[in-house]
Amino acid sequence: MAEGMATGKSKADFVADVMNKTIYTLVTNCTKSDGVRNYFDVGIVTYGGGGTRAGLAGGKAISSIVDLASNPTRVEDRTRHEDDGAGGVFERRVKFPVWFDPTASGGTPMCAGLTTAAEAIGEWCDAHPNSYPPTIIHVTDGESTNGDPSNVGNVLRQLSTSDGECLLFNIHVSGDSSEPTTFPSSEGGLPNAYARTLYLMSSLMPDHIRRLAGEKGYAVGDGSRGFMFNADPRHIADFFDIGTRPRLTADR
Amino acid sequence: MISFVRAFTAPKHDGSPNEDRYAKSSDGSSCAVSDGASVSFDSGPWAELLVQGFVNGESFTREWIANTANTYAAGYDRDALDWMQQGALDRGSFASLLGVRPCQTSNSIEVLAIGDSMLAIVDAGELLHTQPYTRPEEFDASPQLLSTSAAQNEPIFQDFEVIRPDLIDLSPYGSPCLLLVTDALGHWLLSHPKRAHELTAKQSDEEFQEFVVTERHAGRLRRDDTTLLIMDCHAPSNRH
Repeated sequence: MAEGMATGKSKADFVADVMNKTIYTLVTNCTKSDGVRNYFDVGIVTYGGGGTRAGLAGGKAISSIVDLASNPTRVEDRTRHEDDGAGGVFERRVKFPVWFDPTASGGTPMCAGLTTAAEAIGEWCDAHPNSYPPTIIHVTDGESTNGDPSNVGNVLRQLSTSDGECLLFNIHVSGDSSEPTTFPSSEGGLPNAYARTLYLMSSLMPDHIRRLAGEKGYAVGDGSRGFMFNADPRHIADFFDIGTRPRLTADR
Repeated sequence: MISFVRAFTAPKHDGSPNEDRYAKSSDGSSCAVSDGASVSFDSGPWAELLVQGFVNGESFTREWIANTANTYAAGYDRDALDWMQQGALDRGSFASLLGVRPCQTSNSIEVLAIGDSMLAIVDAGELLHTQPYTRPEEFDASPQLLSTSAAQNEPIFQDFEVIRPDLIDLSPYGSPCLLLVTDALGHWLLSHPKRAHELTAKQSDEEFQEFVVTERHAGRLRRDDTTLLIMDCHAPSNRH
């Protein structure tokens, strides 16, 4: 994760940025003038050279969105450029919370990381048997250093609630200059074995997810899987937006 | 001549805030309903500004929406909000708008519709016309709503600087009743068109609440804030 991407950022910087923005978006989507509504539980598992860690500092692997909102490591003052709706942009000062700082310490123990996620999600499904099933969005550089992750990927996809099986989506952040791929329906165009493994581990996109992706302008078909390779930050942000909306919200 | 008759509204859950709003002009000839979206910072006040703007005769120009969004934002001290509330305020509040008013020059009405609130014309108990939707599954798509965030309104103003109302000629109808409904009831109406007469017959809050509870319990009415506004139509005085 230490190596650079085509954008000049390190992969670790990029992934930390994506995760902070995603949690920020999830929390603000659940926030109304009277506070944060407990619409979601969110699980976080990180893995790297230092091993596997469940949850944020001292926390559980899966916590409520309210707990997550209450526990960023710090809140920074940033300036953001925003569309003014009339062809221009304007600057706005914003308070931006940070949960993740980039770390890249060698090693990608993907099997251990996904196993930790499977344990936490299995417990959650047992405790919430009638809830919308968890969606797992796995962001990685794709080069597992502790074996083939396909089997644990199968296990994750088979965990279920009465409303269906879990969805496993993968985002492969690669350092090479191969063409980006979004929601492919075959492994044909993927450039290496790591990407093909992650593609095959990815769930088929269900109807409501496909419809949301279509509304955002992505070409998706019956066989499209929840997988992106080398996607740019905008596409990854879209992926999180699409993948973290449960069916009821998508239908509304 | 069209005029307000009565309106009813019910929240998603007992005791929860209701983000639907409705309004009528002082003479009752212009009416509007707005459904404040759940994924919003505070959509009720935004919906209120929209329905009041319509019944006060405003043109829904890009500029009017932007100025109204500023009025909305002035109700909050952005710098004093914590990060999550500030982020939610910046993301925006969203609401539908359905407004109906008489057209001055003919036996027609002007209908302004943004989002998934629906107008239904019922004549002699029969559902004869709906807009903007005609099939229940159309309620499954994400609708374009009016937002306090200017960027979110761009698709609305791609072609024109003002939202143009549609004209509907009421001449073909005998004694039409106009129903302005928010999305849950619109979906119900298109799923059960033969029951349209039940809505026109609602006379009291108690009757409406009982209908909502029964239909929700039976799984026929989606659990959402639910609003019904009824207007009727009299022959113009120059048509004796």
